[in-house]
Amino acid sequence: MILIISKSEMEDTTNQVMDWLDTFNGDYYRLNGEDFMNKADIINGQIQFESFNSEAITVIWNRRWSSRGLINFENEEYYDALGAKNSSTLLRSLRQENGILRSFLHSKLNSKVWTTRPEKTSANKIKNLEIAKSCNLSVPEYIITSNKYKLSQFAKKHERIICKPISETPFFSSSIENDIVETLILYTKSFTANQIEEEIEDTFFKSLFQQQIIKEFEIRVFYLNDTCYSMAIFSQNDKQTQVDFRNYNDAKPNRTVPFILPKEVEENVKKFCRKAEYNIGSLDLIKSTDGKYYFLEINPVGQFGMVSYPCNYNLEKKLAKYLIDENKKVK
Amino acid sequence: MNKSNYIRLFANCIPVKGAKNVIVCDIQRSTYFEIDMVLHDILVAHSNKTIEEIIEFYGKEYEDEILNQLDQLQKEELVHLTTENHLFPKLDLTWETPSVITNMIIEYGDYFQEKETEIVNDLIKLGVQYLELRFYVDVSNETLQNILQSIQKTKIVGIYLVLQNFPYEDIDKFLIENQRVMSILLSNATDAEDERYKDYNKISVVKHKIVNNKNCGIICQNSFQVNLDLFTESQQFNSCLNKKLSIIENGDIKNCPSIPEALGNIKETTLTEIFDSKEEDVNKYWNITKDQIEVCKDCEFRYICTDCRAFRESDNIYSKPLKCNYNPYNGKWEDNLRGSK
Amino acid sequence: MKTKKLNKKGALKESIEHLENQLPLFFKNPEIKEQSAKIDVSNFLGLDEFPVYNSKRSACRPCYKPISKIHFINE
Repeated sequence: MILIISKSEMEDTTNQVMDWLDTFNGDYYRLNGEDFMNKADIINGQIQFESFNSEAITVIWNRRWSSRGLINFENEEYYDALGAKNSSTLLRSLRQENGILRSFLHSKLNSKVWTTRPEKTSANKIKNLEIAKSCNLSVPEYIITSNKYKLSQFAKKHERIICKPISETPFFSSSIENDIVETLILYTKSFTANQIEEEIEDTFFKSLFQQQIIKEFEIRVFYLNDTCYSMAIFSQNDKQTQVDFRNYNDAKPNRTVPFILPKEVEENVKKFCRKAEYNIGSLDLIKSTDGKYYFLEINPVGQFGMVSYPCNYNLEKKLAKYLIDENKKVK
Repeated sequence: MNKSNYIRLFANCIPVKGAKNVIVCDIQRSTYFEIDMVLHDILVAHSNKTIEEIIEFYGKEYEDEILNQLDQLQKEELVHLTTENHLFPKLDLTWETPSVITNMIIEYGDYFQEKETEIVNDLIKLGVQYLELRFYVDVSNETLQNILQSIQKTKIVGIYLVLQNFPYEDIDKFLIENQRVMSILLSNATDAEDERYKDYNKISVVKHKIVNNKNCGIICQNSFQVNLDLFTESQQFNSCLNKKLSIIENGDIKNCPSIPEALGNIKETTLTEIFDSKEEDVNKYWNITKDQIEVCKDCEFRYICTDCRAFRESDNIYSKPLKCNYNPYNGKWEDNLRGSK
Repeated sequence: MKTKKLNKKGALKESIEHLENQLPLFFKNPEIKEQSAKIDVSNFLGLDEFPVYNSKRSACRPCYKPISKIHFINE
């Protein structure tokens, strides 16, 4: 049986893959993180979950975990009453409880075939940059520092540098009126050497900086079962998307077209995925104006709908087929 | 403009050539542009030439004009320059769906209540995604609510309602509670109703009474849609009838409500049974593409409009849709719609 | 009944900026986007429950083509 680990809300990609699994008469079960936390019991080392028996599982599509925060304050005043210090203790405690339960589930399923192994679910960007280099992929020069002087030297060498999270981009929002929400946009930031000199405080939390690559276009590659499905994103013409294309322009979306990676780059990308042990992943690359292809990062549980539809790759079907085939192999 | 580059239409901007006109279908931004026939040749027939070579082909005296036109296309973001022509493939135009039936039309009738459970189960089995639900008589809010609730069990993501009356006081509440409802067409509407619903994009009213399926089949510019799904589906399949199934008021099961051939009656059989036993009758029209239909095959709009086989110009199964008044040979929409009314 | 706590406009950005020298530099000069949380009933492409997918909120969407042409009028 194929196990899909997903979340219960806003996850249409999972639904679409399920449609194809139905077409292929696939034997599958969708386990949302929420279901595991709310409905499953663990009794004497066995996970009891409706019809779910971990023995029957052969292959696991590790997609998502849960759409909800661990705690939902219906009445935000209580949250205030707890105070910032206690509420962060409360959250940390729940996160640890949840973490142990989840890792128990993972250990129960350890011997199965995973699209993304649980310990690989969140990528280590720094490690991956080094693995990429060892696979002959170009990566932008980078520095991780909290020292303004060193940063300044780095910036001078490259003229323009960018700063981005080492892990995932956090999301903040606050209600300012009943129907109006303010959100903080923390996309990739670009700095000139001058800005570093003049606008940056002497101390800051250790951050990742990279030389800014002037792009001809961006490339998103979905890697599945030793095949690369690539898409070029023409984000450089639009001021809004120059530095980070996630800052979408809805009125005039960036052109997204199918793309074929040059043979050598494709081989290196595959080498990278094998070496870093990803069976599936969404990679960001840049084709720079100087003609080089730079590896930026990989998202191991990556979105592929945004590549699949515009390029008509039908990756939902290909993934379903892959799961079916893996399931047969093990059986 | 660097003349040693190749100039390429973005893969999702696809030219379609008609007898007189050429359009570029921008299937990413859902719009189309008319372009000059010569420009079409430059982009299509000479796509393996650099700009320099194109100018050479047409002659130096046309250089300014060619560069001007290409510059215009680049500003519109229909083309891009590249030195690596071979790395930008054309879009694969294969159309695929996991559904056995993608879209379904149900005319509410006496058969419905008794057969509801069976129909809903078949909607799931067939993987139906879109449903048009028609009422030719007034409907109560209990009846409508029950049906909408049953549909929640299915994979249907979009519901289109055709109603004679809208049996709810609170429109906002109805639309919020029934997110799958994409649009409501209210027939036989009064002036007061017209006024009441005018601010709702999802609700449209018509003054005339839609009493049966004879009203269908009108092809006009309003019915055009420029998108990947329709564009690709119409390459290999009939853009209206492919993977469609209908139950009409008396329970007859048909490909489309307006065509004469019935495949069976829901009172005696089920949708899945029909599909399994009479597949060849069910999909009689499914593979008739626009490229096979008279006149349409010379029309530049052939992959953004939807066909009609129910009302056509002659008995010939490949004849032009009767209720289309576009003439691709002179590029004009004629005033009188032949055959209608 | 859910009670929402309302913050002062700009307070979020202010608090982040106040912490600036303790945060990574991608927090520097954050942009603020104001969004209406109000549902535009008529244009909204909603989320609905789909038990068949074991999903509480999945996207509803219009068909990519007219299912029928019964609503088009000869103008």
